[in-house]
Amino acid sequence: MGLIEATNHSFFIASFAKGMCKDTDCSRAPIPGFASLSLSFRIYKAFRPGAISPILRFSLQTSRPDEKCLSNGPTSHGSPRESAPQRGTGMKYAGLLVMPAGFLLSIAAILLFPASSSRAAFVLCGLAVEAMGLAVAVRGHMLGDRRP
Amino acid sequence: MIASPSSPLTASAFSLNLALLTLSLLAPAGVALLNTGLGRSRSAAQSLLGSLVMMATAVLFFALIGATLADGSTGAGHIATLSGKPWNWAGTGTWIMRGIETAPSRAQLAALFEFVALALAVLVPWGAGADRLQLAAGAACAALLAAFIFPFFAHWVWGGGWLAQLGANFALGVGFLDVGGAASVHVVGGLSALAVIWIAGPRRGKFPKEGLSTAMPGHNAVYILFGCLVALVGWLAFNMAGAVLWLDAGPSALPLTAINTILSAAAALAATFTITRVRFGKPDASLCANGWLAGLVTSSACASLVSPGGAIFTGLVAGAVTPLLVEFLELAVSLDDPSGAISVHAASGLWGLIAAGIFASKSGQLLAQFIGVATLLGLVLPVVYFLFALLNRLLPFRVDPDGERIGMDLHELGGGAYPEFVVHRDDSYR
Repeated sequence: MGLIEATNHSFFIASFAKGMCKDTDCSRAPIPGFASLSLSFRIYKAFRPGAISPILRFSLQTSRPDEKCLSNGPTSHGSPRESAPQRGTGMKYAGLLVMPAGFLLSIAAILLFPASSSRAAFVLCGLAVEAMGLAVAVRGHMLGDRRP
Repeated sequence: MIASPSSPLTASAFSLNLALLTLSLLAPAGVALLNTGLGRSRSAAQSLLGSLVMMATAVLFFALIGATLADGSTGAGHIATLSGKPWNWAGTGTWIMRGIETAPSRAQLAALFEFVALALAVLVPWGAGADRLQLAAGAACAALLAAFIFPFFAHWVWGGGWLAQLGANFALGVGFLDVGGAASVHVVGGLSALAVIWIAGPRRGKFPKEGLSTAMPGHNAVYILFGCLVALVGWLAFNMAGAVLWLDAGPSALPLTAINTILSAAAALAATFTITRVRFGKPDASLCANGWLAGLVTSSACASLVSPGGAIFTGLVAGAVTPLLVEFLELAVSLDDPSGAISVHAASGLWGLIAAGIFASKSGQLLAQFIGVATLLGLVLPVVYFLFALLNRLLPFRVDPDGERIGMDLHELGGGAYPEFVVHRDDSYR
């Protein structure tokens, strides 16, 4: 029971790690996808009933270097021309600047379209633009993560 | 229909609302306790004193500047005409609340309601910045929120502004509905919390360079859980006061609001309890507290508008999503949010606003709620982030590493909350 649930739980985190590995340095993982598989296993171990005190929430301590793919430390990203924190800050600003475009799209929808169906479609498009902007800003935060 | 702030209120309704608003101050008290309990023991006194400082700063700046922008008692405002429709975007009140004693009774109560709402809103980013946000920087954030961000949004929603007029101008239901402050208080507070977390960064040792995040459990489960009980009382009063003020609800409608508030919180707690019990083997006290609060936040949006069945459904969804989102934000997105402000206040508030549209009987209401959500995400978040980022240049949010190491109590106040206790060291987290 524990394994199935823990695997389900870790599915989105593992998928997230996989997605991140596509555009970042995951050469440390010996086999493609290995990082996410091993992550599922570790989360299973950590979330096994009775393995940790519930008040600790998620005490997942590890020491393996290939986990940088998930933990997205500054050393796992970056290009020769621009450091990861700088790139992350730029991405965050870009994402935050995209978000008002979604708001303006929503306002334009109610001003320009009298029909409720086209209004609804454009308002939803505006929300989708905002969601994309938020995703870019969050991704920028992760790239520019400076861990004290 | 959204009641106009200038419309009269009967003497009994005035007395009832005044009593409810006085009682609703227990909501910020409960949230302050919760924030303190979820932080570390070496920052407990700074956290609770900070809550008082935030509230004091916020009400002062609101009275000095914000009330002018938020005021809707005259029914007028700064109006721009766009596409032949009036867009009321700011109030035209008096400075320093002059003339409040002679204002209509509903306008007086609206000002008091906004005081309580603001006191609650500024505690949300303060809790998210626990253990590293400096007191002065937190107070400056509260001042910015109270002087500009909150008043504009409060005017748009409660002061007859353009969001409230979406129904009259564009036939979108009765306009954007936010009876208990889910948008103006919780989503604005939650998005401010996100900005604070982005700017201040994680606590030292929270995300080690190698490996996953470190658990930094709340230092006092009793504060956390007692805070939930205190918050319930405040929330009940606040939701009922909102129903009287903004929906013109009579006394017979208030028990349903109270019942829905309790049902929403109870359903959310049941969902969180079950999820943490199944996944961790034992229920998690702090996550259950987050779930309870998420149910209350959801009820702020729709307790006066839905049936008891609807309240249970919205609470269940909020309670199920909250623990998963807390975990996702921490493990996958690397956001260090000690109080769970983003999941509890921002996400649950947004869900409540959408649920209010889903369960509404009038057509177009859901679209009005979506436009409110689009305003919060597309306008409020970027503005808050850039204002806070600018403020961070002038007054750094984050305490210096030495201050963080010895604890905010000793660093900022010169004495700890628990002088007879041994202070936890960073090394023990590793």
